[in-house]
Amino acid sequence: MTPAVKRKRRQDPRQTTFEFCRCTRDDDSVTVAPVSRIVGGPMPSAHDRGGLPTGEPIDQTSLEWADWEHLVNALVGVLRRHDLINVDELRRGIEAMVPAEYESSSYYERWSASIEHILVEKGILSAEEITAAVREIDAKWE
Amino acid sequence: MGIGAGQLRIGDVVSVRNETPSHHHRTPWFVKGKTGRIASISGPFFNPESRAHGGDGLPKQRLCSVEFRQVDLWGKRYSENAGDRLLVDIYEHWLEGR
Repeated sequence: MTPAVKRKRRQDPRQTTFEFCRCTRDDDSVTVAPVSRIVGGPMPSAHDRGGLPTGEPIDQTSLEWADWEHLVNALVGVLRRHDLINVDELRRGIEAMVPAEYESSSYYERWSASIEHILVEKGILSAEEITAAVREIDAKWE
Repeated sequence: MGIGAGQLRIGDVVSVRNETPSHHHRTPWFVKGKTGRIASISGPFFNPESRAHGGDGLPKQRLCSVEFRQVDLWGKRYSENAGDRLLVDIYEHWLEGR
């Protein structure tokens, strides 16, 4: 992937530290990444964001769990107990998300996306089965 | 693989491999290529780089808590106390003794 790099300021050759810039990924999502990671290096992964600047304060409010989030949490527990998924695969599935989707997803939405990804990859579920199940649930709500 | 895997000791000065493999790995970008000191060692644990891709996680890897100077990681951007340190858990095979 070749990111379109918009430099905020010129790179100072004497500066040994990271310089940050906004860059656009192939899927048109925008991210902030250190120039040193982009020039000559692979595109930064959306999840590897420790220390990246943010324009907004961190929201530290405690959130109530939604019912479906309890279900996703329980599902991962069951899948792990039955050796169908492990925590490292769960993390890999999250990292495999399209960056724009990763950015716009909540914590348990990412877990949910990863469960689908890994179970389809292992042939335990098919994408068609998941789509059919989602349609069935959607129909109940309409 | 880092030299002397399994031989590093608390207090050793180590550098983190400056690599970004395409497989799942847990070493954050901001410590890659940086130098710190081993503060403690735990494990060994199954290697997540193997377990994330259907492997058995063997050989197990020890997890080293490496202490970095914040200014070494962030340079001038770090405006707090110059003596501040950051501890990051890094699997031993990512570390090279100095």
